[in-house]
Amino acid sequence: MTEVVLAAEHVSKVFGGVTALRDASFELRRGEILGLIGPNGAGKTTLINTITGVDPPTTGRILFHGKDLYGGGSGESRGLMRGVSSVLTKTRAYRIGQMGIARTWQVVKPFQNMSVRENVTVGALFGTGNRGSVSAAAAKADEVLEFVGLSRVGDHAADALTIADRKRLELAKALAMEPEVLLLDEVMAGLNLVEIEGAMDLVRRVRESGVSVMIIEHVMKAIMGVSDRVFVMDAGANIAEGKPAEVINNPLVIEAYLGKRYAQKVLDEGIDPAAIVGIEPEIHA
Amino acid sequence: MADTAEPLVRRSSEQESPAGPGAKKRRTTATIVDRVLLICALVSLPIMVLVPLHATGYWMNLLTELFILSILATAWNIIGGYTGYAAFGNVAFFGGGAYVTAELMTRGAWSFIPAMLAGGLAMLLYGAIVGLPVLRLRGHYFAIATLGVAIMTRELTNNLAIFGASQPINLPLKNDPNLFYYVALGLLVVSIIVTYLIARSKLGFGLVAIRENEDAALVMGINTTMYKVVAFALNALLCGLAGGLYAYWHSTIDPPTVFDLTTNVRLIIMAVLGGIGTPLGPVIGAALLTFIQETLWKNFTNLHAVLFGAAIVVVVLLMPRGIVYLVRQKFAWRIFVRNLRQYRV
Amino acid sequence: MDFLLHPSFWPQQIVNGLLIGGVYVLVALGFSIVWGILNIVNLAHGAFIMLGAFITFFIWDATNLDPFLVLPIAAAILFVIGYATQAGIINFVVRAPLLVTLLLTFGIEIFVTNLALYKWKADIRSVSPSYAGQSIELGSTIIPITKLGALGLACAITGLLALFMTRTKIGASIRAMGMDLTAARLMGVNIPRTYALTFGLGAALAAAAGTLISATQPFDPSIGSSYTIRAFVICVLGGLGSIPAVLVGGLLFGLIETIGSVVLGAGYKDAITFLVLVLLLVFRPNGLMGKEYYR
Repeated sequence: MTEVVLAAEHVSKVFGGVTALRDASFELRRGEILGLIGPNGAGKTTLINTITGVDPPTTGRILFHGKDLYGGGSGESRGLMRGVSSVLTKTRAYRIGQMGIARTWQVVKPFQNMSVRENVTVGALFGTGNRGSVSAAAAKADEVLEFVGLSRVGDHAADALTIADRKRLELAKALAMEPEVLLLDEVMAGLNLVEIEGAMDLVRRVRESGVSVMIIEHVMKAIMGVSDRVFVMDAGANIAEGKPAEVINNPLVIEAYLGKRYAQKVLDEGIDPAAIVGIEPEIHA
Repeated sequence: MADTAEPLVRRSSEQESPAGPGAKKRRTTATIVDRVLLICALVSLPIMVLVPLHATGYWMNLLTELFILSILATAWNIIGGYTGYAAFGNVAFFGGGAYVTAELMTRGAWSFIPAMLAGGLAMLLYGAIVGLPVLRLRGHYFAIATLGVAIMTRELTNNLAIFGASQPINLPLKNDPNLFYYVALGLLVVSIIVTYLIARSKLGFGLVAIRENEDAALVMGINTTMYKVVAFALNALLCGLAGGLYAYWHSTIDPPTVFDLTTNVRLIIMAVLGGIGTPLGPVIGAALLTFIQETLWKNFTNLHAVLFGAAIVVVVLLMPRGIVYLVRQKFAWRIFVRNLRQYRV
Repeated sequence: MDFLLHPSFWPQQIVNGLLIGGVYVLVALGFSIVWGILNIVNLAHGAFIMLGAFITFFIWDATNLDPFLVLPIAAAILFVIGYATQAGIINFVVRAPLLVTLLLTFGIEIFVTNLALYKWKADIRSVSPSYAGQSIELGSTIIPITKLGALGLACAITGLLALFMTRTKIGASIRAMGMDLTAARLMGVNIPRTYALTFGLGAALAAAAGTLISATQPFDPSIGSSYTIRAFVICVLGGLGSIPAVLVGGLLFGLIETIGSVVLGAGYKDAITFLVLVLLLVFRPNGLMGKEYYR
């Protein structure tokens, strides 16, 4: 069995009175593409936020190469100490980026008043490469732009791109950080079928370049086609894990997506679950 | 994937000739304008150096004051323009630098230049200490917290005996307009060079990334806290140096003048008027605003402040992004109309 | 420092703090609404307060009408001015970066204040109705009657505003707009007009504060900016987004300012205020009772 690069152990996250994650765990192995699915509000994005230090976990551990990212206590505390500890967690968030965990954002966050090339240069300047010179970073940025197919718009303002190009820019910014682990948060939402094919191809090529990928996606066709393994979350906890074909036939998964009554109907009437889950893209679009 | 979607580019004026893959040379209107501005600045520098040979006392005073204001606007541009944090309390560092310099020159009998440098360094430190907690705030909250810092600093100076309480401090008198003129010009040139260096360096990329989206910048590995504090402290350093120069130039300082809160707003208006986040914008804005103020003062002595307020309103409405951005576009009167519509509710 | 131990000292200071705090509630109320709902930090708020004080003064001077009765007139005039300012000027930059609105309202502040200075000079004025010198004595504690009236009016106006915001259709549309602009627009709220209404309401409340100030203390055209800053501190102290928060913030601020200046000396009054402000901002940015949206 290949080495585990990134793992979450019994992670929970509470916002005020709302528990967004309860006891979520997963393992991401070297060089694999791990799909993460689940109905809206399952806690998928929150999980990525806890990994990248945007919202540190309330309890539980996140291990990168076996080392706890939040070594000792997690970042949460009360009262006066909250100010101090929030400075510390911010410190962790940028270190996590420098260690080699990169992410994209579901709601894209381009640096709008920078050109596309400059956006990607930021990733190359910081990230794991942590280059000192802007020209070296710009060279790396050109390489990445070529890789994702954005060279032709390198000089354009980032806010002048199409949706598909904005999603690719998100990916390019993360790749320029030369990460070991890439967390993709719905990079295919809003794309048309041709663009989705292209994006799937891109994700596979990223993996071939030696990056371990965890991908959140609602486009079932894409995630089933691209993932080596899939793990499913519902209501803040993981409910199933396995090969794409196994997961899709898991009664718990069908129930999470369709509710108990319809899940029973599906099982009783022997409907192919893939056909049902395949409806997702339209629902989501 | 590269062949799928045609790029739908909304702006056309700046990107008429799309650069091919790997094209390094970009000649957009923006870069040409920036280059022209830079050349203008380089040409005007020798002229500025020669001014004292011919100028009257009025012009020497006016230009020295303009240089000091330009330094302040340029300093603010680092934190407010590049980093996107609207600091409203820079007079804390201006006044602080003035007071440290004054104290060192009167009680410590230091000579001017070392005292000014010490004032600047003291403000660098003060800026870093204050910045660490205050830079955690964003938006309006940051703006008012920095204003609070300025008022607190003024009140402490006003009340503490070591700063002469509210009594004015008299510095050694020095009647040498050329000295002040050249020191001010030198500091201004240094601040502009610093800005250029920042804009082209890793620091500058980090600061602009923070301005554009702080969360995204953070997870991309930028130590946002440190970068913001560095920007804020550099801003404080330049303000402190300008304050030290001002103290010796005016030879008498007291809290109401060096901690004048309207100076805060004046220097921000200068930066906005010129174009924030550009190296030369604040200087252009300072020159233009000083020109407007002088003209109003000469022609409408009684009403000049009223008209000044009206001028600010008009300028903000018609060019919220400043002159540099205005000339970067191909100039046309309809740009004003577009600006007016751009942010309408 | 013996006076601190005198039995009548503390009750008197607390009463003084609450009396001035009542005025501060009204000073901050309009500012809080405009900030919380329109996301505009209105630096001209203090100038509107000053205008309210002067309108009260001139009407009282000309007709000898009781200043508290002039309040609705001053409020109506400032409502019109505020509505016009928002509809004619600020609406154009509402979606711009915050620096732009700050500078714009600052420009308006300079314009109004200096116009007032030009027209009315820097003379210090005050409104003193016939009953100005009277006071109620409770034991050794003295309560000036005008200040008590001001506190009562401030509380009444705060209550009326709360009713207006929760019970009327306009109030509901203002609150809806503050929570979600797009949703409010889709539900049929006329956004530009409601923006102007809200800003006008803020200006009217500023005028009411100006009336109370004119009846309780001397004033001149340059008082505006100090009240703008106080309004800001009060909003931070109570927390942005609710009327009760302004009530708590204003009264608390009156107490802090009054007691701080007698204990540490008047010279440290502003320093204390802003130390409190900065500490609060850093450690409790949502204020003492901050809410997510306006109630």
